[in-house]
Amino acid sequence: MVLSKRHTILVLMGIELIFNAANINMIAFGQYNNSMQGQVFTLFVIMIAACEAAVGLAIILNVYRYFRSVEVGKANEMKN
Amino acid sequence: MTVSAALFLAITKNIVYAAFSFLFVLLGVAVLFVFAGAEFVAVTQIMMYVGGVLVLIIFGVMLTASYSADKPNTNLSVQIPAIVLALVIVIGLLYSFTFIEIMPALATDNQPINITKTQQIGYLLLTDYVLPFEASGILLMVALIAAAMIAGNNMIKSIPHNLSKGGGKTESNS
Repeated sequence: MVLSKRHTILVLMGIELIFNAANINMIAFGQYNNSMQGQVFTLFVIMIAACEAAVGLAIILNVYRYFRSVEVGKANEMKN
Repeated sequence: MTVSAALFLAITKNIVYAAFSFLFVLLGVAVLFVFAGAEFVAVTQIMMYVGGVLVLIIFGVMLTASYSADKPNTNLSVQIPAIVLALVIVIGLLYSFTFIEIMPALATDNQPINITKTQQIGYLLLTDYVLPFEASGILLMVALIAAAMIAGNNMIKSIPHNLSKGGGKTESNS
């Protein structure tokens, strides 16, 4: 989904899904090992994902305002 | 339900449908966290993802909705790495499911899952993990300021006039 989509917001959603999969894994293994470290790491991962979504959507808005498009391959120049 | 919502999110063409199925995926993951005995993480998941990230994504969808149908990427130089990556992940998962004994005792012991206390998470965050906790606070503040600066109107205006005049705006419209 991250590689096969053209819409940038769908790519961002795919990244969030990958974060969620990693969170489920960490919760499950932490539960299996009877330790709290999985839950603490999951909290940190959720925080990082929120930061990444905010900054990524800000970048997408700026790119859309400049290029009038949100396709992945369209924004292929930085200045001029 | 979570898996079906994720599959629908992966294969749908309409981006608004994708956003709503993303809501169901996040709620399903929160339910899985509750079943795994991590209720504080589940509440945090609902608060941050459903309350924050999903609202941001829906705002992004609404603000950038130039076209709603998402055609699959037919560029061959992107499709070949995607297919190779998917095959590697599928083969690795099947290998680890079939050959590696990760959890030999999980099927045998029927002890109930221990409900972890939220108080323990609080003690851990303020004793063992106090440095990542403070660093995450600073990172949240930096990300907030950065997102406000990037998405603000000043950035387009601050591009010099001769650069933004003949830039990619007219070319990418075609």
